[in-house]
Amino acid sequence: MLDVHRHEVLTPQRRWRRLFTSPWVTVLVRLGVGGLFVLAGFSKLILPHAEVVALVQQYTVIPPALVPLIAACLPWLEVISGTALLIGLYTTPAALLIAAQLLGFSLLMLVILLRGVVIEDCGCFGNLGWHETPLQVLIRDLVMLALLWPVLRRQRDVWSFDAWSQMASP
Amino acid sequence: MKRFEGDVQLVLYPFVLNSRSEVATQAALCAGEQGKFWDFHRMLYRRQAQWNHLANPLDQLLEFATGIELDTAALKSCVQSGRMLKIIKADQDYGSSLQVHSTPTLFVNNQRIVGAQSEVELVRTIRQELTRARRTSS
Amino acid sequence: MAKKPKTREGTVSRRQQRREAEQKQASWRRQRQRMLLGGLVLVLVVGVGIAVRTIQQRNIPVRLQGAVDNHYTKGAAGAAVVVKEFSDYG
Repeated sequence: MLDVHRHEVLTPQRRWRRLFTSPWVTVLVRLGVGGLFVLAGFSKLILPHAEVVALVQQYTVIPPALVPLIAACLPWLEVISGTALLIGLYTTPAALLIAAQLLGFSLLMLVILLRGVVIEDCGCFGNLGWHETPLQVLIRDLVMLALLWPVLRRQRDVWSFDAWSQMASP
Repeated sequence: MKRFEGDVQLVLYPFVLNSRSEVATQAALCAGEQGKFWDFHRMLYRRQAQWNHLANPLDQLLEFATGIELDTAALKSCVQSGRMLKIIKADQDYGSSLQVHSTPTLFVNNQRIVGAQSEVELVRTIRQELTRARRTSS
Repeated sequence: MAKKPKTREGTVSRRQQRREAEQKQASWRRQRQRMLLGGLVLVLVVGVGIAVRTIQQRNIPVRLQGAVDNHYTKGAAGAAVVVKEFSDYG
């Protein structure tokens, strides 16, 4: 297909790449992934700390000494990184932080599945009634990791704090 | 419990999470009317694998009840009347007000313990609370 | 050969420098505003999280005081430590 404005041939590959790196795709991913992380974080914050400890403890592959630390820090990490991505504040570091968490969760689920540990509900969203098995979580997290790629490769920011601060830049 | 006799009181609140355990809880409370609550309570855990998978475990539980010399006709009538449901609902509401979401959940005074923790962990918490209580009273 | 007017060259160069300096200042101002406002949003969200957590847990010690009556117990009444067990047979 010939683009009359740019005078270039738009192959399907180029069309997909242009769509993939469109700033509006970035906005959708930021809102979706960031929003999900904020929800996950808050769903654990409204639970008593001992409940979150019990949720983490069901992952028996995690060393017991680390369980209280993870239970204390994880909800806040999710809320803060999710909010930063949602509002587009230091978007790249926020996306990298979220990608690191997703990678960690994915590895954990993989180990759980390979070891045959039975977990009926991952506890990712506290007691909001959204139950997921480790396999479902693994798939979801890998999809979200893939979705972060256009955010990390974006050419420009729109609808974000970063975009606003770039407006007067030379 | 024997270790802390005189210092610790255990209070049991059945917190029903599904229809099977609702029947079992009603049966246990009805057994209590015949003075056999704790025997029935222990039997339910000992034989959990034999009744837990049944959609309606009442008949199986009545069969087990003969082993602890319960009047099964009275037990059956009590369960079917549903008069224990009010108590069960009240305990569920109380548990919900305390943000109990899963079982077992224990409160050692104000310390919440969720899930099947080790005896060591439980004893440690009880000792901590005993020390705190003695410090407050002295 | 006529000499090039030095004054005009100098003016252009100074004008450009001034413009660049103003743009740099504006950019730095925006960066600072981004950090402040963005930081404020994050602090607000963390504050909401702390508030939600505090409010949820606030009344639990009070609610734990009562409701022993009409329940099966073991051990001494009035003991220093009361263990309330919420458990399910299933």
